[in-house]
Amino acid sequence: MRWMKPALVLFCVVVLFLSACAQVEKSETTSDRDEDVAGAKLYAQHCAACHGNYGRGGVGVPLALEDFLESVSNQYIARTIRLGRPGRVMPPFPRLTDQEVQKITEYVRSFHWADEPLFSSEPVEGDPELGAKLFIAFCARCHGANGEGGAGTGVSFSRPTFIPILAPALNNAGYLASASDQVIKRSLTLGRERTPMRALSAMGLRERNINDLVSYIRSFESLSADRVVMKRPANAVLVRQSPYSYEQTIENIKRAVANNGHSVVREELLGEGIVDPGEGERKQYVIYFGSLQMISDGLAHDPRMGLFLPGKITIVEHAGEVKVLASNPEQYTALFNNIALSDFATMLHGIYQAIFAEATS
Amino acid sequence: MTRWLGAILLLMISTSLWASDLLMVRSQLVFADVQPRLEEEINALGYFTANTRRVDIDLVGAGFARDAYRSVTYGKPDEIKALSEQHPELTPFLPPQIAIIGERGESLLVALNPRYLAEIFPHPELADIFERWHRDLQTILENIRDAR
Repeated sequence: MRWMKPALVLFCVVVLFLSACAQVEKSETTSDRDEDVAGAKLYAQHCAACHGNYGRGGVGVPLALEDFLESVSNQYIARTIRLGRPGRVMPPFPRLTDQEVQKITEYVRSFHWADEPLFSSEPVEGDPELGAKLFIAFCARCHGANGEGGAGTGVSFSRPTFIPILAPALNNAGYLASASDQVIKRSLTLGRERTPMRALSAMGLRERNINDLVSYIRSFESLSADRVVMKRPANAVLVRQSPYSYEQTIENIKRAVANNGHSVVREELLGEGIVDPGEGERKQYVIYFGSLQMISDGLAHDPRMGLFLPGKITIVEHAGEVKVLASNPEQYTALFNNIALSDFATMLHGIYQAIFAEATS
Repeated sequence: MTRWLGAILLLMISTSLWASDLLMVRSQLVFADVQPRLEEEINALGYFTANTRRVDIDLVGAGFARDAYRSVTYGKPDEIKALSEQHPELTPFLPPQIAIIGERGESLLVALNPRYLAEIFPHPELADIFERWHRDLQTILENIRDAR
C-alpha cells in the first residue's frame, strides 16, 4: 500500500493543474466575450443606425462584405471611423477613445471569419499621368471624372435598394487619409464581389498599370481646391421683422407661399397638441408649406431631411415686434454631412428669402 | 509620411465641427410598431406627443415612390410655451421632433441633437434645458434601439 500515497499526491496535483487550466481558459473566454460585447455595444451605439445591425448596409455602405474585409486593413477601418468622409454622410467620430475605435474595428472585422490581411507599408510607385488615362477608361464611369464618387451618398432613398453600394468618392480627404497605397492597390486588383466594382486584374490590367492608377488616385491629395469643406453658416435662423400686425403677417406669409408656387400644408399655433391653446393669447404661429415635388426631392437627397420638410415658417409677436423666422437651410449640408444637399439647400434658402421678402415689404 | 499625418490632423480638426449633430438609432421593430412604442417612451419621461405626420402617404398618393416615413413632435407644455415666448429665435426648432424611416423591415430614427441647439443658441439659461433634452432623447432612442 506504500505506492498509494505518492499516487494520491500525483492525482491531486493533476486535478489541481487541470482545474487551474480550466479556470484560465474560462477567464480568457469570459474576457474575450466581454471584449466582443463591448465592441458590439459600441457598434450598435455608433454605427448600426447607418450600416445595419449586421453590417448589411442601409444609409451607409455594407461592411459585412467578404471582399471588403479581405482587402482593407484594421488601420483603414479605424481611420475611417475617426475621420469619416467629409460631405459623404459618414461622420467623423473624434470623441471616441482609441480603445473604443479599436473595439469597433475588431467587431467589424468579426463580420467575416478571416484574419486581418497583411499589407506592406511601402508606397506604390507609378506614373500618375498614365494613371489618369487609365482612370478615365476604367474608373470614371462609376467614380466620376475627378474621383468625386457616384451620385447620391449611399442613402437608401437616393438609390435603388438592389444596388448594395454607390461608388465611393476616391478624392475624398477622409478616404485618402484612411487608405494606404497598398489598400487602394488591393481593392483595384481584386475588386469587390457582389458590388459593381470589378477586379481590374481580370480586365486585362497589369500590375504596373494598377500602380499607375494608385499613383493617380493618390495625386487627388494635392487638389486641395476641390476638397469638400463643411461649414455652418453664421446664422442658424433666418429672421425678418414685419412692419405689419401679427394677424396681417400670417396672411401675408400664406399669400407669399402661394405666389412662390407652393401650398400651405398645415397651419397651427406653435406646439399645438402639446401646449393648451386656451392658456392665454399666444402669438406664435406656424405655417408648414411646400410642394410634393419639393418634399420628394429633399427626401431623395437625404431621407433625414424629413426633419426640415415640409418648409416651416414661424410668425411670432415678441416685445411689441412681429417677426418671421425659419431654420436656415444653409446649415443642412454640414448638419447632415451631405454635399449632395448643397444645391437643394441653396434652392430652399432662396424660397424662404423670397417668401419673407414678399410678406414683410 | 509627415505630409500624410499633417493631412490627418487637419482633417480631424476641421471635421470635429459637425460630429454628433444628429442622434440616430436603428430599431429592429418594424415601421408600424415603432411609433406607438416611441410615444410610450416619450410619455414615460413626462413629455407629450403630438402632430404625427405621415408625409409618405401624401407622396405615394401623388405618385412619388417613397419608403415609409413619419415624424413625431414632442415636448413638455410649460417648457415649450415658456421657451417660445422668452426665446422666439428658438421657434423654428420647436417642438423637438423625431423622424422615423422604414428600411427593409427595420426602422431608422433620427433627431436633431439638442447639444447642437446648445451650440447655435449659447444662452446660459438654455444650457441646462438642452442638456436634459439630450439625456432624455438618448434614453428614448436607446430604449427603442434595444426594444424587441
